[in-house]
Amino acid sequence: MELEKVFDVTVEEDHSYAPVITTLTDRQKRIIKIRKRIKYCLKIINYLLLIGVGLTFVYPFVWMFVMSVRSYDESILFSGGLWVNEWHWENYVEAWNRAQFSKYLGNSITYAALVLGLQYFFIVPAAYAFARMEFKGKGFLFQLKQLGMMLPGEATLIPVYFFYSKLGLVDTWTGLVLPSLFSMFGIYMFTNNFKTIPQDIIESALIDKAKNRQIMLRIMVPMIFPVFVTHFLLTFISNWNSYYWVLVMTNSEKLKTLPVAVKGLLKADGILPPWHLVMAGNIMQLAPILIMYILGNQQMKRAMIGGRKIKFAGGDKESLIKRGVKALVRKLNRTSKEVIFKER
Amino acid sequence: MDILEKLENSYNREIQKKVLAQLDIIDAATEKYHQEKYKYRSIFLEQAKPLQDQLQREKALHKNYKSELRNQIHKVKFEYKGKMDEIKEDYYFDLKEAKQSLDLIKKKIHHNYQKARREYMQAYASSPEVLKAKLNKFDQDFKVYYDKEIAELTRQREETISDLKQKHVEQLAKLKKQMQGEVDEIKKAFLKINKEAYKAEKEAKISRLKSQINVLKQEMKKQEKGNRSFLKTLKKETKAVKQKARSEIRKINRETRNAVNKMSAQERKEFMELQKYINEDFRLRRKIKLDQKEASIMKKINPAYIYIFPAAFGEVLFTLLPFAFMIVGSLFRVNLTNLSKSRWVGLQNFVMIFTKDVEFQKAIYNTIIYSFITVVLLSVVTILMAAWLAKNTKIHNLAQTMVFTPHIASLVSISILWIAMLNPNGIINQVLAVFGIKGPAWLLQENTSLFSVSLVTVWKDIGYYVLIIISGLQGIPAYVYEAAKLDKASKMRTFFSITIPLLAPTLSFVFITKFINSFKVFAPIEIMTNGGPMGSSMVLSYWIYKVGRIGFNYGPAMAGAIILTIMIAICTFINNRYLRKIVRY
Repeated sequence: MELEKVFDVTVEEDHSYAPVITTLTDRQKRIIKIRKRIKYCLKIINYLLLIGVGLTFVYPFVWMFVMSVRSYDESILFSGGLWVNEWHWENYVEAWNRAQFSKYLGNSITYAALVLGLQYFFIVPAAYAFARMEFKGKGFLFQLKQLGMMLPGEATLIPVYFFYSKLGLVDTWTGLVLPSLFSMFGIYMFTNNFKTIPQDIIESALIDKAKNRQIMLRIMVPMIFPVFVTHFLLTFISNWNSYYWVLVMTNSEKLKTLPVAVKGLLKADGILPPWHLVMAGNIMQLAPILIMYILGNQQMKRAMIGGRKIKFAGGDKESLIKRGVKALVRKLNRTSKEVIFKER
Repeated sequence: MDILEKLENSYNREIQKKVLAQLDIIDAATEKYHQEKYKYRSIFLEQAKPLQDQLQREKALHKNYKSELRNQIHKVKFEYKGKMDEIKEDYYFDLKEAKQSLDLIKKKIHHNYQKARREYMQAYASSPEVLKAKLNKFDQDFKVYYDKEIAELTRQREETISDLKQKHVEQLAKLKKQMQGEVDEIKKAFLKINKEAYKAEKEAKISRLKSQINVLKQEMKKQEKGNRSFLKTLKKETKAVKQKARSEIRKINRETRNAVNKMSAQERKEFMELQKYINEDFRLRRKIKLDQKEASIMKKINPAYIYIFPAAFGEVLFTLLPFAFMIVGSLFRVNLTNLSKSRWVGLQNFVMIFTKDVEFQKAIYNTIIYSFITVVLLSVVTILMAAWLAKNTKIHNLAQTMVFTPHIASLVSISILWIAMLNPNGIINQVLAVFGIKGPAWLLQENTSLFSVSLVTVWKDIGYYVLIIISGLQGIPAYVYEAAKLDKASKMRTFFSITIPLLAPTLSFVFITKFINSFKVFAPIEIMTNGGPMGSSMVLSYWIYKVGRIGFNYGPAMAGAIILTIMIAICTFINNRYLRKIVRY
């Protein structure tokens, strides 16, 4: 071996990554088999654990239903099991009558319908202006929005209530609905989605001398129709569940909604609340949203986490709601085409 | 027969012509009135427009005198900085290469040395003594040779490095010199201008232009004043003309109705069919007129202001005005029935709530403790659960769906449900009793009430945050994990040194937002504990509600609201300033 060869850096032969072929003995084969079996068992145990953990989140709701059909004497024992000695369906009727559910249900529906029906007249133009138009004071409004995020409704409660009482808006539908019509959340959501529409489409419309109004209503709104569905769902849920605003801005019983009514059942009479009735009322208040969730849970989950991308196993299977929405979109598309054709 | 021809010769068309004539009269009258009304104004605008343009230009020049210089210098500097950065990057890259090359050579030599030794060992395996001698000799030779070679190589390397350094410094100096030269030139050009004289000149020009415009304006006003009585009479005249034309139209319509009534059935049918087209024509005319009017309005103001109005109104009413009112009102003892009788008390509201109001002090302490408990519990539980639930099988999906259920229910029903479950005889204590633990009275006990409330909110929010983290996990590209697999990293190692660091920005953002949001907790406290036994679960937002809305003590309540706002603002500021990072793979 010569020294020059040692210092010749260019020579290089390395076999450390070459594949090694070995034959397995019977013992090794057996071990591999056992390992596979253990893995399979672990998988099943994992699945069982998963279902168990999931059940801890669903069980309380089922228990709530069971409580609602027990008799009073049975309900105050709070037994955690899911058995019922006597089924008392009349609890629902009694809860309905005692908490005047018909009145509050009407209020809840009116509140949701007013907000859902009116908000788009205000939100969509504002979002369009934020996304596609230039004007003085845009930056200032944006900064105000950030201030608004830092300033929660819980802090501005006193001044807003004071203004309301001076303007005579306490205990009126107008006052109750007003803040939802300008909700920053909706404007933000639509602004972001309007921004994703490519500029080329709008420029081609501008060449055809389309006005802002026409661009907004004829081009942009149909393009982001799925966002409307998501927003509709979210606002419905938040309105149906809203408690703080209704509690704070109403004095009389005239405009209170379902959550307040259920709370009224809880604090109705005596030291011990009638738990069977409270649970019945609670179930009735929860029912619409729970039914929606059972019908279209994938869509609800996707909508609730807001704009983030997520994949679900078996998510390709279309739910009832999705199918309905698709049919609606198809119908709308057809009608809008017809309108355009007529005008030509 | 063509329908248009038919229409042209018909009775309908005759009527339409009559109506159109009347409409034209109305239009002409209004046009005449408008012209008369805005005659002098339009003349003024025509004359003043060039002056106004000039005025604006002068104003801009006067204002931007200094910033212009700064802008130009900044521009030049920015350009040169980009060039310098490029040169620096190249230099560092070369330097790194030069430094690493020697190490590589050394490694390769050692590799070859080991290989040669192994060959010796194999060749003289039978006679160990010979092998020992040979190896000794080989080692000695190698050492001498190696030192010489390496010394040579290091010398070479240092030479190249020093060359590189010199070149780099020269280039940089050259660039700096160039930049300085350009900047100096710009400065010189600006120094030539006499500052005071320049300013005075501009100001004189501006004032002159202003006075010219004012003179024109006053003239216009005088003329308009003289014209006022004439305008009044003209207005009356136009009104009369319009009324007459309208009555004429009404008359024509009445006549046609009579005529149609007298027609036979066949004729009437024909008439109605043609009238459809006439009506359509009228409708289109009206639409065109409306469009013209809209365009004239849109020309004057930016349409964006019409679009943005609701949002701006909402922000003013629900953000700006309350904020201002809150700051001012916290310094007063507010009189509800008569605002003007409110008394100025300065910072006394703040002093009072901080020193005398025990409930407020408890509220601040509890709010912070509550937020900490909630966020720490939530983050630990959700991160572990998300890592467990992140797989994409049907059973995992079912578990996700089940875990998410509480999030869609309202806080009210969840709170009511958990009052029953946290009852001293409730489910939780029954389960604990199975393990032989005697559970506390949860909501009715001072030391556990706040913890129980935070437990409920955590239980409600787990599903939501698990889904968010899963969507973050799905965003990490697969090749990162494949690389870890190639390096034979264990699962725990992968989780702690890849998943967590890559998710960290998302996690910190999400949980700090949650931290801020839990300052505002209201509904669970209001329903479950009402501020708790002995104020042990009193939080700020509930305190504000209790003092301000129920007790009507506006001053202290608004002071408390300001404290809450400040707390939120500090957290938001820290979050935006220090914790917002961009993920890079």
